[in-house]
Formats: sequence, C-alpha cells, structure tokens
Amino acid sequence: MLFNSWPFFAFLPVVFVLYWYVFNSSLRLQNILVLAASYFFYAWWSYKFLGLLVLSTFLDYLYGFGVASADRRKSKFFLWLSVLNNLGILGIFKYYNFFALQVQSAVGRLSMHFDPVLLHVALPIGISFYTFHGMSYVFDIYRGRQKPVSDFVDYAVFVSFFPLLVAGPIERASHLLPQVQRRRRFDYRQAVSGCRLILWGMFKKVVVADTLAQVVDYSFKNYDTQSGYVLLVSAIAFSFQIYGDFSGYSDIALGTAKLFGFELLSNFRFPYFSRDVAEFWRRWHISLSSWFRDYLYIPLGGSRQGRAKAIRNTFIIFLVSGFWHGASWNYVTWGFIHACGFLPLLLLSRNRTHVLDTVAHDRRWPDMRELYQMLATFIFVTIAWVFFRAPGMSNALHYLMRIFTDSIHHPAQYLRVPPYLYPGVLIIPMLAGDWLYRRDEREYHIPVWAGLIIFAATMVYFMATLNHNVSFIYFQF
Amino acid sequence: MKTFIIRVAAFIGVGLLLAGVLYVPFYLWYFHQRVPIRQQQIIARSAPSEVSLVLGSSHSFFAIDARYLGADCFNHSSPSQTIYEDYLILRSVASTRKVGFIILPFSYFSNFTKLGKAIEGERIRMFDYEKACHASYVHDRDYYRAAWMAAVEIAHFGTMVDFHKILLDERGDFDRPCTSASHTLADSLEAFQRHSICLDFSSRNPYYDSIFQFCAKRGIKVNLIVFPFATGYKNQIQQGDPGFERMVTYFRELKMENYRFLDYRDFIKTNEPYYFENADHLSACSMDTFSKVLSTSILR
Repeated sequence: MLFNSWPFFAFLPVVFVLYWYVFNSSLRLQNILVLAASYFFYAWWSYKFLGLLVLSTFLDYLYGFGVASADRRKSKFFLWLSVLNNLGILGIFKYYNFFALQVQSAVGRLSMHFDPVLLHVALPIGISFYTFHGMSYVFDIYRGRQKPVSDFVDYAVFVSFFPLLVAGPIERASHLLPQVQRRRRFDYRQAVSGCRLILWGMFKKVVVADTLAQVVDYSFKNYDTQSGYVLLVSAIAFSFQIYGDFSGYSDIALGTAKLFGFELLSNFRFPYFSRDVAEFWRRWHISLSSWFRDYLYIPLGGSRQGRAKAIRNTFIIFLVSGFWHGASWNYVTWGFIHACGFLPLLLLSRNRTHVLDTVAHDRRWPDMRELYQMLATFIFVTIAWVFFRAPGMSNALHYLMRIFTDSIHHPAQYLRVPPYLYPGVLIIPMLAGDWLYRRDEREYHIPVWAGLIIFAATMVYFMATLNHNVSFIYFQF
Repeated sequence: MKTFIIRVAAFIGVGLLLAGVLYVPFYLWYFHQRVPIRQQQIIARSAPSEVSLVLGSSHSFFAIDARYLGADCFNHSSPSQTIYEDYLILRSVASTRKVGFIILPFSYFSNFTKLGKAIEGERIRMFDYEKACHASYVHDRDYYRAAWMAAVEIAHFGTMVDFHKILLDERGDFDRPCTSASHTLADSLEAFQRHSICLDFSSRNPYYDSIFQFCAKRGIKVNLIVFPFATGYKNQIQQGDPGFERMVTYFRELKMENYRFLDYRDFIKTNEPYYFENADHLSACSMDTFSKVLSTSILR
C-alpha cells in the first residue's frame, strides 16, 4: 500500500479510530492491532512475501534469546547466525543475480563458459529495511543495550510497524522497542505535529517529486538525443526529486507514527543546506548512515586507530552504503564518489566542522561563504546522483559528458521549458519551507491558512494529474 | 481526542472545498496551454523519443483508437477542438519529441465561419480564427470544456489512467458490444439543416496552412482524413451542399496524402444506425473497425 494512494487514505483513519477507541483498553491489544494492520499494509502489496517477513522476524526473535546468553561464545554464535540469516535473505533476493552475472562475466574473460541459474523473482519490498531492523535488535542485545523481548508481538511490531516497514527510517531496537512496550496515551500536540508532517510529506512527494519525475525520467531515458542544458536541468531536477520523494516518505512515516504515539528517528535534516559532504551525510538518510556508523564503522575501529585505518573504514562504509541501495556498480560508484568527497575533509580533520550548528544559525540569510559552500556541496551531490539514477555506468558517464555540449552556452534555450514543467517551480516553496524550519526539523509550525493551501494544492495535483499511486524511489531498495 | 478529530475533519473539509475552487483555475491554466495536462503527462511518462498524434475534434475523438496506430501514437483530439488548438498541441509536443506522423481530420467543423446565423450559433466562438489567434483570449468554451472534463475526472478520480479512454468510458460504450441504435434518419436531416448553412470554403482556415508548413519544416508526415457520415446525412451533403464540392476541390489542391472515408461502405455499414453515435460521429463499435482500416491504410 502506498502512502499516496486512496487505499491508504481509507486505511489510516480506520486504524487510527480502532487504535484509540476500540483497542485502547490495553497495551497488548493496541500492539496486536498495530501488527495486524502492518501485515495487512504489507500484504496489500504482496501477500506472498508476507511469509518471508514473518519468518525473518521470528528467527531474529529466537536468536535474540541466544545472543543474550551469558556464555560469550554462544552469544557470538547466535549473533553471527542472525547476521548470516539476514544477509543471506538479502543476498538471495537482492544480490544473487548480480554476483552470478559477475562470475559469468569473469569466467567469460578466461574464455570459459558458465551459465548461471538466475532467480526470476521480484525483490520483496522493504527487505533491506526489515532485515536491518532485525540485525539492529541482535546487535543491541549483544552490546547489552537491549534485553531480549519476551513477547513476540512486541518484537514483531518493532520490525513491522507499517509507517517504517517498506522504506524506513531504519529504527534501533533500543529506541523503538521501549516505546512499543510502554503504555501510550493520545497526545493532542503530538498528533497535530504528525498531521503537519504527513501534509508536508505528501506535498513534497505528490506535488514536487512526481512532477519533476516527468522531466527526469524522460531525460535519463533519452539522454543521447537531449541538449546539454536539458540534461543539466534534469540532473538538478533529480536532486530535488529524490529529496522530495524520500524525505516526503520519511515525513509521512514520522507523522503517521506520531498519530499512534510513536516517535521515530529523524531521517532528514535539510541536506541541501549542507556546507560540506560530511554535513550532507549527517543530514541525508540519517537512520542508514548512523546505522552503518554504529554497527560497521565504529566496530571496524572508526577514526581512532590511525589515519590509514580511518581512510579504509571511510571507504568501506561508503561503498557498503552504496551497495546497500542495490546490486549495481552504479550505486557502488555513487558511494565511492561520496567517499572521495569525504576524504579531503577527513585528511584535513575538517569532517566534524559542522556537527551541531545549522547554516545561518542566528541569521535570516546565509553569508556569501556559506552560500558558496552550499552550492559547491549541492553540485558535488548532484553529479553523484547522476550515477545513482542512470541505468548503467556508461549511461552515467555519457550523460555527464553530454551536459558539456555547445547548447549549454546558449542561455536562450533555458527559457524553452515545456508547459508541463512549469510546476517544477514548486521546489521553491519546498525549499522555502525547509529553510524556515532548518533549526528545528521536527516541528513544522505551519499556520492553518498555509496548511490549507498546501493541502488544497496537493489534492488538486492528486486529482488532476497522474501524480498518485506513484511508487517511492526507495521502495526498490 | 474528539477535538482533534473534529478539527482534522474540519480542516480536510475546508481544504477539499478550497481544492475544488483551485481545481477550476488550475484546469483553465492548463487549457490555456491548449493541451490537456493528463495527455501531456501520458506522453511524458511513456517517454518515447518519437510519437505520432491524432488531432482534431469530436470526430477524431470518437472515431480513432490510437492503439491501432502503434504504441507511440496518442489521440490528442478532444470534442470541439479547433484547428488552431491542433496547431498548438502539435507545436507543444514537437518541442520535446520527434513527431513521426499526424492524423489531421478535415471536417466541416474545421471550416465553420458563418455559425452566427445557425442553430448552433453559440459555436462561433469556438471557431473564430481571429480571436483564437490571441493566446491570452479565453473562450467561454474553455470554461465549458474545463468544467465538463473536470466533472468527468471528478466522477472517475483515482481510477483513470488515460484521458481519451476515460472520456470514451464516460460515453458508456468504449468496450461494450454495439447493441444500441441511437441514430435515425431524422437525426441526419436535422444535423444537415443545422450545419449546411454555415459552410463557406471561401474562407479557408489559416491554421491548416500553419500546420502544413510546420510539418514540412520538421519532416512530419500529414495524413488528412475525412470521416464517414451516416447515410442520410451523407446523401444530403452530397446532393444539396455546394460546400461539399468545394471541400473535395480543396483536397485536390492540397496534393497531400489524404484518406476520404466519406464514401466507404466496405467496413462501415453507413446505413446501420448502431455504427453511428449520431449523424456525423462514429460509435464505439465502428471506432474499432475504423481504426483498423485507418491503420492499414496509413501504415501501408
């Protein structure tokens, strides 16, 4: 079920009313309802893969008890069993074909023949997210941050909570499980805040991202016949499309969770206002980057075991992060580019320059230096996005090369924008809204009149265009 | 909790009202571009680098299923669409895509100039070339069309994917067997009386020339077609209308690829009422047949 679809618009109020009015007599009943609703939400996409979700959840639930064992060897054994189990599921469904084809290609270079058996199954939606939830749970138990949960329903709610089930944020057991096990009471302010987030997320997805998707899809598909300026505009458009799409999804997820009394981890903090790549990664897909930091980078030694290891670990985390997105060299290259952008900051010990502050923190507008830094970071990120979006490595390289054709020097062509792209200017209110709340991303204090305009604009787009039932980009991961 | 639900419901209610109010100018804005948003988006989404277009008014709209002409062919006609709008649509699509061929109907509607005196006098606003030349001019008809299409969309929202198909669905006979007989000879006579006094081929529609020049410049093949009319109507035209002869002459002068289906009896039984929605519009069952024949003729 998609957030931006009519079934969800019916599903959410029904579950909300049942949750607070019918099942509110006990915490367990509420959790059972949330679990049932989550499985229904998932099965709406494909009931066949629901079994895989339940099986994965159940196995990690069992492993949790083994990992909690006082015997360190037994504990470690179950930890690795869980890791193998989760990575095995991911490996089979997400990476098997990729590796099989790589082997075939390598063997072919040796003038030998290898005909691999390929899997012809769809990638189960949300698999990268719920397997990471499971691993987060056993890691936290292993580190003593979390005790194994005795009630399967509680644990299953943590893994399968419908707002975050298919595209995150990737929650930590130590953060979400206590909320699952604690009695929740309706909080008016929290619910209103949730509605605001849902509204803003819908606007970003339906109005901005799906409108920009039209030019992006066309340009990336037909880049060899497009002029340089069109490709440049499309690359910039994709930067905003993926931001509107994914941060829109995250906003809706956070907002929906708030309606049920949960506070999820923040996933975005206005990444395009970043002044360097390090800051960008503290603001983009935060739940994933912090997951890799806590469960991969730090266990590998982080930056505390000498410069060489810090560089090695940086590359590992970025390459793995790229590979997490999909079984393609494009994503690995995308991660590699970001690692290269991060490297100078690491070597100059400037990777933690902007940790706590926000741009133009005590001012209304950024100064020239900040503006330059933001622009440079945005250009860097946009170039990397081309590798993320293009269907293949050679396509990405050709796309970038074609930008620098003669047409890029003819500004008059920039004015020839097809009418259906005019709504692209709606990135301006999106950025304006983000800029206004850049210091406190969790609280969009949207005035009622502005909220009504945003709501009406979203509904008009929803009804009058094809911008509904359009899948989220991160669903494919 | 109750306060929350009441306030959210009130917010949604007011928001939907506001959305309804915004919907009309939004649509008009797109109609100002003369290319329905949904059709633009269908082309944008399907994203072939080369497309072909069916243009024209209700005659094309109700007669041609573009799917028979190839996956990249789109029916961009709509009821009451003028040649001027055809030109704008073609220009708009050609700005982002290579256009392979167009199907351009040559109908009486394209050349109405004296409607002021006719029963359908209000239509003069639709076919007034001079006023249509000004892009800022919004016809009353635009409001009518916007309201009509908005009504159709509201009735179907959430389910539609293809503007053309939906409007045909709205007619109720897109995928149904042809069982209803809606056209009678009396309709033909009445339609003839309505239309014949309005024709004047001495005032040639300048936008035909614009389209021809545009297509010649871009290497776009133009297929001119005349649609079948029901027997009674056709006979009336052929027997009593000097405009018909002028039209045939005009066609000859153009020396362009043309398909005159007016006389066809092989595939459309012009004396069978259920093949016609009314005197001069094909019905859904003949749309299928006609589209196949058109496809064979053009692709040959």
